[in-house]
Amino acid sequence: MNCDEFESCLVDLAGPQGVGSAARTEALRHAIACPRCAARLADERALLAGLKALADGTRNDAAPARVESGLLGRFHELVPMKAATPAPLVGVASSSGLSWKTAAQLGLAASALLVLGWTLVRSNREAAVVDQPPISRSAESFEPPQQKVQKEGASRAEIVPFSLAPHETRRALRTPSTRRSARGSEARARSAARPASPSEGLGHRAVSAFERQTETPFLPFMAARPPLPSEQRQFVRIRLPRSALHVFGLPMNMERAAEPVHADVMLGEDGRALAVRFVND
Amino acid sequence: MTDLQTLADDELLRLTQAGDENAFTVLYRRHQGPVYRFAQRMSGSPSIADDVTQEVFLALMCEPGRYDASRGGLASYLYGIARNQVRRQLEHGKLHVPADAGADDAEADPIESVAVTTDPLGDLTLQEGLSTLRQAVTSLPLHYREVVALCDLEEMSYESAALILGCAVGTIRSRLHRAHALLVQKVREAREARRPAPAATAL
Repeated sequence: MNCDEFESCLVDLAGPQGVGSAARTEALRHAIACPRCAARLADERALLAGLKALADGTRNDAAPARVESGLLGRFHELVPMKAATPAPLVGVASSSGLSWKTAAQLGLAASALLVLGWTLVRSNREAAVVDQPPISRSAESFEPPQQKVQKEGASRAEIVPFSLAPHETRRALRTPSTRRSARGSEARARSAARPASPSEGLGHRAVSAFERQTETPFLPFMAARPPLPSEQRQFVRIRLPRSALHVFGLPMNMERAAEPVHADVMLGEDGRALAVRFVND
Repeated sequence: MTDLQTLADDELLRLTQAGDENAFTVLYRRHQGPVYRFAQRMSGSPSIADDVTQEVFLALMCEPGRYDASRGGLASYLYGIARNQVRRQLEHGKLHVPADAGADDAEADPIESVAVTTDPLGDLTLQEGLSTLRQAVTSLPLHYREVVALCDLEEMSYESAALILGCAVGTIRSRLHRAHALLVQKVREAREARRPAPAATAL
Protein backbone atom coordinates (compact mmCIF):
# COMPACT_ATOMS: atom_id res chain seq x y z
CA MET A 1 0.00 0.00 0.00
CA ASN A 2 1.29 3.45 -0.87
CA CYS A 3 0.49 6.81 0.80
CA ASP A 4 -2.36 7.64 -1.60
CA GLU A 5 -4.06 4.33 -0.95
CA PHE A 6 -3.56 4.79 2.78
CA GLU A 7 -5.08 8.25 2.60
CA SER A 8 -8.13 6.97 0.74
CA CYS A 9 -8.96 4.45 3.48
CA LEU A 10 -7.89 6.62 6.41
CA VAL A 11 -11.38 7.63 7.60
CA ASP A 12 -12.67 4.09 7.49
CA LEU A 13 -9.50 2.80 9.12
CA ALA A 14 -9.84 5.08 12.12
CA GLY A 15 -13.60 5.28 12.24
CA PRO A 16 -16.48 3.00 13.14
CA GLN A 17 -17.22 2.07 9.54
CA GLY A 18 -14.05 -0.02 9.47
CA VAL A 19 -12.23 -1.73 6.64
CA GLY A 20 -11.61 -5.37 5.85
CA SER A 21 -9.05 -7.15 7.99
CA ALA A 22 -6.66 -7.63 5.08
CA ALA A 23 -6.79 -3.96 4.11
CA ARG A 24 -6.45 -2.95 7.75
CA THR A 25 -3.33 -5.05 8.24
CA GLU A 26 -1.81 -3.66 5.08
CA ALA A 27 -2.65 -0.06 6.07
CA LEU A 28 -1.20 -0.43 9.55
CA ARG A 29 1.93 -2.00 8.12
CA HIS A 30 2.26 1.04 5.86
CA ALA A 31 1.74 3.41 8.80
CA ILE A 32 4.58 1.76 10.71
CA ALA A 33 6.88 2.28 7.78
CA CYS A 34 5.68 5.83 6.95
CA PRO A 35 5.82 8.45 9.77
CA ARG A 36 3.74 10.89 7.73
CA CYS A 37 0.83 8.44 7.37
CA ALA A 38 1.23 7.39 11.01
CA ALA A 39 0.77 11.03 12.02
CA ARG A 40 -2.30 11.29 9.78
CA LEU A 41 -3.76 8.22 11.45
CA ALA A 42 -3.08 9.65 14.91
CA ASP A 43 -4.74 12.95 13.92
CA GLU A 44 -7.72 11.13 12.51
CA ARG A 45 -8.15 9.09 15.69
CA ALA A 46 -7.85 12.22 17.85
CA LEU A 47 -10.39 14.00 15.64
CA LEU A 48 -12.86 11.12 15.79
CA ALA A 49 -12.52 10.93 19.57
CA GLY A 50 -13.25 14.67 19.73
CA LEU A 51 -16.26 14.36 17.41
CA LYS A 52 -17.58 11.46 19.46
CA ALA A 53 -17.25 13.49 22.65
CA LEU A 54 -19.03 16.37 20.90
CA ALA A 55 -21.83 14.04 19.83
CA ASP A 56 -22.13 12.55 23.31
CA GLY A 57 -22.32 16.01 24.85
CA THR A 58 -25.24 17.00 22.66
CA ARG A 59 -26.98 13.65 22.37
CA ASN A 60 -29.89 14.75 24.52
CA ASP A 61 -30.31 18.20 23.00
CA ALA A 62 -33.89 18.75 21.94
CA ALA A 63 -36.18 21.52 20.81
CA PRO A 64 -37.68 23.51 23.69
CA ALA A 65 -41.25 22.83 24.76
CA ARG A 66 -42.49 26.05 23.17
CA VAL A 67 -41.82 24.60 19.71
CA GLU A 68 -44.11 21.67 20.45
CA SER A 69 -46.83 23.87 21.92
CA GLY A 70 -46.61 26.21 18.92
CA LEU A 71 -46.96 23.29 16.54
CA LEU A 72 -49.92 21.87 18.42
CA GLY A 73 -51.55 25.28 18.24
CA ARG A 74 -51.17 25.24 14.47
CA PHE A 75 -52.43 21.67 14.39
CA HIS A 76 -55.67 22.73 16.03
CA GLU A 77 -56.09 25.46 13.44
CA LEU A 78 -55.49 23.07 10.58
CA VAL A 79 -57.72 20.24 11.74
CA PRO A 80 -61.00 21.79 10.50
CA MET A 81 -59.43 22.40 7.12
CA LYS A 82 -58.18 18.83 6.87
CA ALA A 83 -61.55 17.47 7.96
CA ALA A 84 -63.34 19.57 5.35
CA THR A 85 -61.10 18.54 2.50
CA PRO A 86 -61.75 15.17 0.89
CA ALA A 87 -58.38 13.46 0.90
CA PRO A 88 -58.46 11.71 -2.50
CA LEU A 89 -59.40 14.86 -4.37
CA VAL A 90 -56.74 16.91 -2.62
CA GLY A 91 -54.19 14.26 -3.45
CA VAL A 92 -55.04 14.54 -7.12
CA ALA A 93 -55.22 18.29 -7.14
CA SER A 94 -51.98 18.80 -5.28
CA SER A 95 -49.92 16.49 -7.43
CA SER A 96 -47.85 18.40 -9.90
CA GLY A 97 -48.64 15.82 -12.57
CA LEU A 98 -52.33 16.72 -12.79
CA SER A 99 -53.05 16.79 -16.49
CA TRP A 100 -55.58 19.16 -18.05
CA LYS A 101 -57.60 16.15 -19.18
CA THR A 102 -57.96 14.89 -15.63
CA ALA A 103 -58.83 18.36 -14.42
CA ALA A 104 -61.39 18.79 -17.17
CA GLN A 105 -62.96 15.41 -16.46
CA LEU A 106 -63.05 16.21 -12.79
CA GLY A 107 -64.61 19.56 -13.53
CA LEU A 108 -67.25 18.14 -15.85
CA ALA A 109 -68.19 15.44 -13.39
CA ALA A 110 -68.46 17.87 -10.53
CA SER A 111 -70.42 20.35 -12.66
CA ALA A 112 -72.88 17.63 -13.63
CA LEU A 113 -73.29 16.68 -9.99
CA LEU A 114 -73.84 20.29 -9.04
CA VAL A 115 -76.50 20.75 -11.71
CA LEU A 116 -78.21 17.54 -10.70
CA GLY A 117 -78.04 18.47 -7.04
CA TRP A 118 -79.44 21.92 -7.68
CA THR A 119 -82.26 20.56 -9.79
CA LEU A 120 -83.23 18.20 -6.98
CA VAL A 121 -82.98 20.96 -4.39
CA ARG A 122 -85.11 23.27 -6.49
CA SER A 123 -87.80 20.67 -7.15
CA ASN A 124 -87.89 19.80 -3.45
CA ARG A 125 -88.16 23.46 -2.53
CA GLU A 126 -90.98 24.06 -4.98
CA ALA A 127 -92.83 21.09 -3.52
CA ALA A 128 -92.15 22.38 -0.03
CA VAL A 129 -93.55 25.81 -0.87
CA VAL A 130 -96.92 24.23 -1.62
CA ASP A 131 -96.99 22.49 1.78
CA GLN A 132 -95.42 25.31 3.79
CA PRO A 133 -97.53 27.25 6.28
CA PRO A 134 -97.56 31.03 5.75
CA ILE A 135 -94.30 32.73 6.77
CA SER A 136 -94.54 34.50 10.08
CA ARG A 137 -94.34 38.26 10.10
CA SER A 138 -91.14 38.38 12.17
CA ALA A 139 -89.31 36.09 9.74
CA GLU A 140 -90.55 38.12 6.78
CA SER A 141 -89.31 41.32 8.31
CA PHE A 142 -85.91 39.79 9.05
CA GLU A 143 -85.31 39.10 5.36
CA PRO A 144 -85.94 41.97 3.00
CA PRO A 145 -87.44 41.10 -0.39
CA GLN A 146 -84.21 42.08 -2.13
CA GLN A 147 -82.47 39.09 -0.60
CA LYS A 148 -84.85 36.75 -2.35
CA VAL A 149 -83.60 38.08 -5.66
CA GLN A 150 -80.03 37.60 -4.51
CA LYS A 151 -80.76 34.06 -3.42
CA GLU A 152 -82.17 33.25 -6.81
CA GLY A 153 -79.07 34.64 -8.48
CA ALA A 154 -76.75 33.05 -5.97
CA SER A 155 -78.29 29.67 -6.51
CA ARG A 156 -77.63 29.98 -10.23
CA ALA A 157 -74.11 31.03 -9.38
CA GLU A 158 -73.63 27.73 -7.62
CA ILE A 159 -72.97 26.13 -11.01
CA VAL A 160 -69.46 27.46 -11.20
CA PRO A 161 -67.28 26.36 -14.08
CA PHE A 162 -64.19 24.67 -12.71
CA SER A 163 -60.72 26.20 -12.82
CA LEU A 164 -61.86 29.73 -13.39
CA ALA A 165 -59.53 32.65 -12.92
CA PRO A 166 -60.49 34.65 -9.84
CA HIS A 167 -62.11 37.49 -11.76
CA GLU A 168 -64.08 35.00 -13.83
CA THR A 169 -65.11 33.21 -10.68
CA ARG A 170 -66.36 36.42 -9.20
CA ARG A 171 -68.26 37.14 -12.39
CA ALA A 172 -69.79 33.69 -12.34
CA LEU A 173 -70.66 33.92 -8.70
CA ARG A 174 -72.36 37.30 -9.03
CA THR A 175 -74.95 37.68 -11.70
CA PRO A 176 -76.17 41.23 -12.49
CA SER A 177 -79.08 40.87 -10.12
CA THR A 178 -76.94 39.60 -7.32
CA ARG A 179 -74.18 42.16 -7.89
CA ARG A 180 -76.51 44.94 -6.79
CA SER A 181 -77.21 43.34 -3.48
CA ALA A 182 -74.02 41.37 -3.00
CA ARG A 183 -72.48 43.74 -0.49
CA GLY A 184 -75.62 43.86 1.56
CA SER A 185 -76.19 40.14 1.44
CA GLU A 186 -72.62 39.41 2.45
CA ALA A 187 -73.03 41.72 5.40
CA ARG A 188 -76.23 39.93 6.30
CA ALA A 189 -74.54 36.57 5.92
CA ARG A 190 -71.70 37.72 8.13
CA SER A 191 -74.12 38.89 10.73
CA ALA A 192 -75.90 35.58 10.46
CA ALA A 193 -72.58 33.80 10.73
CA ARG A 194 -71.75 35.48 14.03
CA PRO A 195 -72.73 33.32 16.99
CA ALA A 196 -75.84 34.98 18.25
CA SER A 197 -76.19 35.74 21.91
CA PRO A 198 -79.24 34.07 23.42
CA SER A 199 -79.54 36.99 25.82
CA GLU A 200 -80.31 39.23 22.86
CA GLY A 201 -82.98 36.86 21.68
CA LEU A 202 -81.37 36.54 18.26
CA GLY A 203 -80.39 32.86 18.42
CA HIS A 204 -83.54 31.59 16.79
CA ARG A 205 -83.51 34.35 14.18
CA ALA A 206 -79.88 33.61 13.29
CA VAL A 207 -80.64 29.93 12.83
CA SER A 208 -83.65 30.82 10.75
CA ALA A 209 -81.60 33.16 8.62
CA PHE A 210 -79.12 30.43 7.85
CA GLU A 211 -81.82 27.85 7.29
CA ARG A 212 -83.46 30.14 4.75
CA GLN A 213 -80.23 31.04 2.98
CA THR A 214 -79.24 29.17 -0.12
CA GLU A 215 -75.58 29.32 0.85
CA THR A 216 -73.18 31.28 2.96
CA PRO A 217 -70.43 33.36 1.40
CA PHE A 218 -67.07 31.67 1.10
CA LEU A 219 -65.49 31.65 4.52
CA PRO A 220 -61.69 31.48 4.53
CA PHE A 221 -60.02 28.82 6.64
CA MET A 222 -58.07 30.34 9.48
CA ALA A 223 -54.79 28.73 8.53
CA ALA A 224 -55.26 29.07 4.77
CA ARG A 225 -53.13 31.38 2.73
CA PRO A 226 -54.97 34.06 0.77
CA PRO A 227 -55.72 33.10 -2.85
CA LEU A 228 -53.17 34.36 -5.33
CA PRO A 229 -54.40 36.97 -7.83
CA SER A 230 -53.93 34.83 -10.93
CA GLU A 231 -54.65 31.53 -9.30
CA GLN A 232 -56.94 28.96 -10.89
CA ARG A 233 -59.42 27.66 -8.36
CA GLN A 234 -61.43 24.51 -8.13
CA PHE A 235 -64.58 23.86 -6.22
CA VAL A 236 -65.56 20.59 -4.68
CA ARG A 237 -68.87 19.84 -3.02
CA ILE A 238 -68.70 17.65 0.04
CA ARG A 239 -70.97 16.58 2.87
CA LEU A 240 -70.01 17.40 6.44
CA PRO A 241 -71.51 16.73 9.83
CA ARG A 242 -73.78 19.65 10.68
CA SER A 243 -71.59 20.33 13.70
CA ALA A 244 -69.03 21.73 11.24
CA LEU A 245 -71.19 24.86 11.16
CA HIS A 246 -70.13 25.53 14.74
CA VAL A 247 -66.48 25.44 13.77
CA PHE A 248 -67.09 28.42 11.51
CA GLY A 249 -69.23 30.21 14.06
CA LEU A 250 -72.42 29.57 12.13
CA PRO A 251 -75.67 28.86 13.91
CA MET A 252 -76.84 25.28 13.84
CA ASN A 253 -80.38 24.02 13.93
CA MET A 254 -80.28 21.40 16.67
CA GLU A 255 -83.38 19.73 15.25
CA ARG A 256 -81.37 18.87 12.16
CA ALA A 257 -78.18 17.98 14.04
CA ALA A 258 -78.19 14.44 12.74
CA GLU A 259 -78.40 15.56 9.11
CA PRO A 260 -75.25 16.33 7.19
CA VAL A 261 -74.76 19.72 5.57
CA HIS A 262 -73.38 20.32 2.10
CA ALA A 263 -70.37 22.54 1.61
CA ASP A 264 -68.42 23.83 -1.36
CA VAL A 265 -64.69 23.83 -0.76
CA MET A 266 -62.57 26.22 -2.76
CA LEU A 267 -59.22 24.65 -3.66
CA GLY A 268 -56.16 26.55 -4.80
CA GLU A 269 -53.85 25.45 -7.58
CA ASP A 270 -51.77 23.54 -5.07
CA GLY A 271 -54.79 21.57 -3.94
CA ARG A 272 -55.01 23.31 -0.60
CA ALA A 273 -58.41 24.21 0.72
CA LEU A 274 -58.71 27.99 0.86
CA ALA A 275 -62.31 28.61 1.82
CA VAL A 276 -65.62 26.92 2.29
CA ARG A 277 -69.25 27.88 1.93
CA PHE A 278 -72.11 25.96 3.43
CA VAL A 279 -75.07 25.19 1.26
CA ASN A 280 -78.45 24.85 2.79
CA ASP A 281 -80.56 22.17 1.21
CA MET B 1 -50.79 7.70 23.69
CA THR B 2 -48.99 4.64 25.06
CA ASP B 3 -50.41 2.50 22.27
CA LEU B 4 -49.53 5.07 19.68
CA GLN B 5 -45.88 4.88 20.62
CA THR B 6 -45.72 1.34 19.34
CA LEU B 7 -46.99 2.37 15.91
CA ALA B 8 -44.73 2.84 12.92
CA ASP B 9 -44.16 6.29 11.45
CA ASP B 10 -46.37 5.64 8.43
CA GLU B 11 -49.31 4.71 10.60
CA LEU B 12 -48.80 7.70 12.87
CA LEU B 13 -48.64 9.95 9.84
CA ARG B 14 -51.90 8.51 8.53
CA LEU B 15 -53.56 9.18 11.88
CA THR B 16 -52.12 12.68 11.91
CA GLN B 17 -53.65 13.31 8.50
CA ALA B 18 -56.96 12.18 9.92
CA GLY B 19 -56.65 14.84 12.61
CA ASP B 20 -55.29 12.78 15.51
CA GLU B 21 -53.36 15.22 17.67
CA ASN B 22 -51.85 12.51 19.86
CA ALA B 23 -50.43 10.74 16.81
CA PHE B 24 -48.80 13.97 15.71
CA THR B 25 -47.37 14.50 19.20
CA VAL B 26 -45.84 11.02 19.23
CA LEU B 27 -44.43 11.57 15.76
CA TYR B 28 -42.98 14.92 16.79
CA ARG B 29 -41.39 13.63 19.98
CA ARG B 30 -39.91 10.71 18.12
CA HIS B 31 -38.14 12.81 15.52
CA GLN B 32 -37.67 16.31 16.89
CA GLY B 33 -34.37 15.57 18.68
CA PRO B 34 -32.34 14.53 15.64
CA VAL B 35 -33.88 17.28 13.51
CA TYR B 36 -33.13 19.91 16.14
CA ARG B 37 -29.56 18.72 16.68
CA PHE B 38 -28.89 18.60 12.96
CA ALA B 39 -30.16 22.16 12.56
CA GLN B 40 -28.14 23.35 15.55
CA ARG B 41 -24.94 21.73 14.32
CA MET B 42 -25.45 23.13 10.87
CA SER B 43 -26.29 26.64 12.03
CA GLY B 44 -24.45 26.89 15.33
CA SER B 45 -27.49 28.69 16.69
CA PRO B 46 -30.13 27.27 19.05
CA SER B 47 -32.71 29.84 17.98
CA ILE B 48 -32.26 28.94 14.33
CA ALA B 49 -32.55 25.29 15.29
CA ASP B 50 -35.87 26.10 17.00
CA ASP B 51 -37.16 27.78 13.85
CA VAL B 52 -35.99 25.01 11.56
CA THR B 53 -37.54 22.32 13.78
CA GLN B 54 -40.82 24.18 13.76
CA GLU B 55 -40.75 24.62 9.99
CA VAL B 56 -39.95 20.95 9.42
CA PHE B 57 -42.91 19.67 11.39
CA LEU B 58 -45.17 22.38 10.07
CA ALA B 59 -44.35 21.18 6.56
CA LEU B 60 -45.15 17.63 7.62
CA MET B 61 -48.42 18.79 9.13
CA CYS B 62 -49.51 20.89 6.16
CA GLU B 63 -48.32 18.66 3.35
CA PRO B 64 -48.10 15.09 4.60
CA GLY B 65 -48.79 13.87 1.07
CA ARG B 66 -45.34 14.98 0.00
CA TYR B 67 -43.76 12.18 2.01
CA ASP B 68 -43.20 9.15 -0.17
CA ALA B 69 -42.42 6.08 1.92
CA SER B 70 -41.01 4.29 -1.10
CA ARG B 71 -38.15 6.80 -1.26
CA GLY B 72 -36.95 6.30 2.31
CA GLY B 73 -37.99 6.54 5.91
CA LEU B 74 -39.70 9.48 7.52
CA ALA B 75 -36.51 10.42 9.37
CA SER B 76 -34.68 10.85 6.07
CA TYR B 77 -37.54 12.94 4.73
CA LEU B 78 -37.48 15.20 7.79
CA TYR B 79 -33.71 15.59 7.59
CA GLY B 80 -34.16 16.59 3.96
CA ILE B 81 -36.61 19.33 4.89
CA ALA B 82 -34.35 20.48 7.73
CA ARG B 83 -31.43 20.63 5.36
CA ASN B 84 -33.38 22.78 2.91
CA GLN B 85 -34.57 25.04 5.70
CA VAL B 86 -31.05 25.57 7.01
CA ARG B 87 -29.80 26.31 3.51
CA ARG B 88 -32.66 28.75 2.94
CA GLN B 89 -31.85 30.59 6.12
CA LEU B 90 -28.19 30.68 5.17
CA GLU B 91 -29.08 32.20 1.84
CA HIS B 92 -31.20 34.83 3.54
CA GLY B 93 -28.26 35.72 5.73
CA LYS B 94 -30.03 34.83 8.91
CA LEU B 95 -27.14 32.76 10.17
CA HIS B 96 -23.93 34.13 11.51
CA VAL B 97 -22.06 31.35 9.74
CA PRO B 98 -21.58 32.24 6.09
CA ALA B 99 -22.75 29.63 3.62
CA ASP B 100 -19.41 29.61 1.85
CA ALA B 101 -17.31 29.57 5.01
CA GLY B 102 -14.03 27.93 4.21
CA ALA B 103 -14.82 27.69 0.52
CA ASP B 104 -11.31 28.77 -0.34
CA ASP B 105 -9.96 25.99 1.79
CA ALA B 106 -12.12 23.56 -0.07
CA GLU B 107 -10.52 24.52 -3.34
CA ALA B 108 -7.04 23.66 -2.13
CA ASP B 109 -6.31 20.11 -1.10
CA PRO B 110 -6.53 20.20 2.69
CA ILE B 111 -4.96 16.81 3.02
CA GLU B 112 -1.65 17.97 1.65
CA SER B 113 -1.39 20.90 4.02
CA VAL B 114 -2.25 18.75 7.00
CA ALA B 115 -0.12 15.82 6.18
CA VAL B 116 3.17 17.68 6.11
CA THR B 117 3.14 18.30 9.87
CA THR B 118 3.62 15.69 12.52
CA ASP B 119 2.54 17.94 15.40
CA PRO B 120 -0.12 15.90 17.21
CA LEU B 121 -3.60 17.34 17.60
CA GLY B 122 -3.72 16.62 21.29
CA ASP B 123 -6.75 15.62 23.28
CA LEU B 124 -9.84 17.05 21.62
CA THR B 125 -12.13 15.51 24.19
CA LEU B 126 -11.15 18.11 26.79
CA GLN B 127 -13.36 21.15 27.18
CA GLU B 128 -11.06 23.50 25.32
CA GLY B 129 -10.56 21.01 22.52
CA LEU B 130 -14.32 20.46 22.23
CA SER B 131 -14.98 24.16 21.96
CA THR B 132 -12.35 24.50 19.25
CA LEU B 133 -13.74 21.51 17.43
CA ARG B 134 -17.30 22.83 17.61
CA GLN B 135 -16.20 26.10 16.06
CA ALA B 136 -14.24 24.26 13.42
CA VAL B 137 -17.30 22.18 12.46
CA THR B 138 -19.48 25.29 12.22
CA SER B 139 -16.97 27.00 9.96
CA LEU B 140 -16.79 24.13 7.48
CA PRO B 141 -18.27 24.64 4.02
CA LEU B 142 -21.88 23.56 3.99
CA HIS B 143 -21.48 20.33 2.03
CA TYR B 144 -18.73 19.17 4.39
CA ARG B 145 -20.62 20.30 7.48
CA GLU B 146 -23.60 18.20 6.42
CA VAL B 147 -21.66 14.96 6.26
CA VAL B 148 -19.91 15.62 9.56
CA ALA B 149 -23.24 16.40 11.23
CA LEU B 150 -24.87 13.27 9.87
CA CYS B 151 -22.08 10.68 9.82
CA ASP B 152 -19.90 11.77 12.75
CA LEU B 153 -22.26 13.53 15.12
CA GLU B 154 -25.48 11.60 14.47
CA GLU B 155 -23.46 8.45 13.73
CA MET B 156 -25.44 7.72 10.63
CA SER B 157 -24.33 5.21 8.01
CA TYR B 158 -22.93 6.41 4.70
CA GLU B 159 -25.97 4.93 2.95
CA SER B 160 -28.47 6.85 5.10
CA ALA B 161 -26.53 10.07 4.70
CA ALA B 162 -26.39 9.53 0.95
CA LEU B 163 -30.17 9.12 0.88
CA ILE B 164 -30.72 12.35 2.80
CA LEU B 165 -28.20 14.38 0.84
CA GLY B 166 -29.21 12.89 -2.49
CA CYS B 167 -25.78 11.78 -3.58
CA ALA B 168 -23.76 8.60 -3.99
CA VAL B 169 -22.17 6.76 -1.08
CA GLY B 170 -18.77 7.40 -2.66
CA THR B 171 -19.45 11.13 -2.55
CA ILE B 172 -20.25 10.92 1.15
CA ARG B 173 -17.04 9.02 1.76
CA SER B 174 -14.90 11.51 -0.14
CA ARG B 175 -16.61 14.55 1.45
CA LEU B 176 -16.10 13.09 4.89
CA HIS B 177 -12.46 12.47 4.12
CA ARG B 178 -11.94 16.05 3.02
CA ALA B 179 -14.03 17.41 5.89
CA HIS B 180 -11.85 15.59 8.40
CA ALA B 181 -8.70 16.91 6.80
CA LEU B 182 -10.13 20.43 6.97
CA LEU B 183 -11.11 19.98 10.60
CA VAL B 184 -7.62 18.83 11.52
CA GLN B 185 -6.22 21.86 9.75
CA LYS B 186 -8.62 24.28 11.47
CA VAL B 187 -8.05 22.83 14.92
CA ARG B 188 -4.33 23.04 14.43
CA GLU B 189 -4.58 26.65 13.26
CA ALA B 190 -6.75 27.53 16.27
CA ARG B 191 -4.21 25.99 18.62
CA GLU B 192 -1.39 27.87 16.93
CA ALA B 193 -3.30 31.13 17.33
CA ARG B 194 -3.77 30.53 21.06
CA ARG B 195 -0.13 29.60 21.67
CA PRO B 196 1.72 32.53 23.32
CA ALA B 197 4.05 34.39 21.01
CA PRO B 198 7.75 33.66 21.66
CA ALA B 199 9.50 36.32 23.72
CA ALA B 200 11.38 38.87 21.69
CA THR B 201 15.06 38.11 21.48
CA ALA B 202 17.09 40.52 23.56
CA LEU B 203 19.36 42.57 21.46
